Amino acid sequence: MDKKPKIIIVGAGISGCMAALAAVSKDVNVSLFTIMPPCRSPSSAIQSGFNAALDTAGENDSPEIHAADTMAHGGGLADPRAVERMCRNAPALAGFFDRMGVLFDRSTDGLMALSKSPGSTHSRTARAGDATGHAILSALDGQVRWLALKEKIRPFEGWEFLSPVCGNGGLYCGIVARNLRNSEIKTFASDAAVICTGNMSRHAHGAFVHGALLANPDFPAGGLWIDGNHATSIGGLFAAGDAACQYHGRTALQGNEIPAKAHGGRIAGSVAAVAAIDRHHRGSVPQAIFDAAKAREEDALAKIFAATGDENAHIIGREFSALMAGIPSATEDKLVELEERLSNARSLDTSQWENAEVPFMRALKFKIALARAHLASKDKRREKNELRTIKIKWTSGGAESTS
Amino acid sequence: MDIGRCRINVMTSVLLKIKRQDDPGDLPYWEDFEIEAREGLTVAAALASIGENPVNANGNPTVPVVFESSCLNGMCGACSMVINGKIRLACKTLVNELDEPVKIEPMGKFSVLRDLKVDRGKMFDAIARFSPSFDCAPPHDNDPPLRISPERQRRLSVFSTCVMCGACAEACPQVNPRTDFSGAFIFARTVTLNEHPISSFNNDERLSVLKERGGIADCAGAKVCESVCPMGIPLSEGISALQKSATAHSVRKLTR
Repeated sequence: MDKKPKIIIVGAGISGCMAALAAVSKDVNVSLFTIMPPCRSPSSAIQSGFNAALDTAGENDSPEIHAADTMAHGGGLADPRAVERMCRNAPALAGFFDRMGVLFDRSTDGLMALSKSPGSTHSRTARAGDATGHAILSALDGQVRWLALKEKIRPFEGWEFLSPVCGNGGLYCGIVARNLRNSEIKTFASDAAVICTGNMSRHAHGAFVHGALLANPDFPAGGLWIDGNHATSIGGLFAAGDAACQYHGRTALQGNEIPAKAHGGRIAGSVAAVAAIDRHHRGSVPQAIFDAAKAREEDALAKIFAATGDENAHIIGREFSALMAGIPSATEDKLVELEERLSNARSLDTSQWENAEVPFMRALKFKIALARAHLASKDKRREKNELRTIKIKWTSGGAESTS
Repeated sequence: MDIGRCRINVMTSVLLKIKRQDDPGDLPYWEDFEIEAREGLTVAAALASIGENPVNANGNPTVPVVFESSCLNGMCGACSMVINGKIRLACKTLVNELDEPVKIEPMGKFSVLRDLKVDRGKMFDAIARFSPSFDCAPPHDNDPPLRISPERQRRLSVFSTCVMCGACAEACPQVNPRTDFSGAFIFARTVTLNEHPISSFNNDERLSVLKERGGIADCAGAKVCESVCPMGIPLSEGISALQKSATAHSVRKLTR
């Protein structure tokens, strides 16, 4: 057992890097898992700015007004306390990135220039040209590498998260991950973890199948259900960023995307670190549980390699995208059919080395499963006929709502 | 019937010649593919489309081509490759604008992992040496705001758009087995670090490292880096500024 409590962060986009930084400041061991170099994560493509009620334009903006705009835009669906907290912290986060070297556009007197974004009643959007996501992620990539040099973060670049390992009582105790270079599957134990794997949560499917509820999977801003402290429904497992559903309600206020990731990542990393310190002394989990989890994932991989069907996963993927775009409209039956066809698709690549087909097929399988959750949520919403958070759980028969 | 609004989607067949390699220990080999190239098809999309029809130009079934990609929108630097002899981002290169046959190869200055995917880890090692980040206190309320002149921000911001694609390293004649030089990307970052209010506290140390082997003295002024940078960073201007700073640094050290 590690001498120090340990947390695992999965994903090194804006929310994952912020979670890692927050955990480091709590003095726990931090392992950061990412498929690709942090600076290439999808956060790099975000072109909307960073909303913060700094009020340098002297319009009497405030975090309270920012929160009100956010709640209104989200259809009143987001948790008001979580939103207030984000809006209260956004100015401090903007200052943090400013000090970190993010080159925000400037006003004539040298402060951060703030513009008014659609949906906001006041000017509060800081920008770094039209590459704010890239500018912030690039600075965070630098911070993470700096901390890795000082051995405060242990990076695992080129590893794909497969599933959480859950011990007695379904509590989190580690992850199973696959090395994308040589296909090696390994388990990693830790006292807590934060899932920061991004939108549509297909990389978080492993968590979904192990009991983590989804919230509003039928909305663009849906994802893993979390409470006010970023805890998922699996004890010891937290989530932040687009992988989690928290700050946006139906849809994000333009310019709130990055603050939600940054703030959420920071809260999740801090809370997870405190949870890790608390859980560290509960005693170790039997190795048999880790071995069983590893064996399960190895079997799943072997099944993909052993499949001999004629179906082509890429063609199924294209049909799936068309289905979800409404052409023709998606139904549970059609999705189940695609799932079955996919299980008959053989991998076009059976090499153990730098195999891109296996992650593609895995991701597609999970996208289809999440689409079923999307439909279940949509049906439940229609049935309830009011705007509320719909929670979805995984079952062997598909997805069902819990309410 | 309104003929004027009828779009005729002309599909032309394009021959791609792709240099492949199964793993680092194997020899490279060429494989040809016929791709249906509609208007607006990028090289990245063309490569991805092989998955739906994994058959080469000889009609033989084959394995889809492995290449790195992420945002597919020119903002993450993942999909660098050599297309018709030029280093390009595959997601920003239109197939229909290329001479046929289209030759696609992995970057030559980095070791091949598989097919078009190379190992660019040494770029990040170079950044760690020459232009690493710095200690930054956590977010806190009542943080006195920084003041940076708009002129300075405008001048520096283009240097911060570097996406670590490696094009500058690929094109630079000084990046070769006989030197320790990594490429102009290290300078893009140094320029911003040297002028930002907080990171500039460490300029002395940063300039000392910059003058070591593999640093600013290894730049021979070819300026090819600037012509291939997909973000349009004025690298030669940045390098000149750093050379001046490095000289001034040496003079200060001498006269101390």
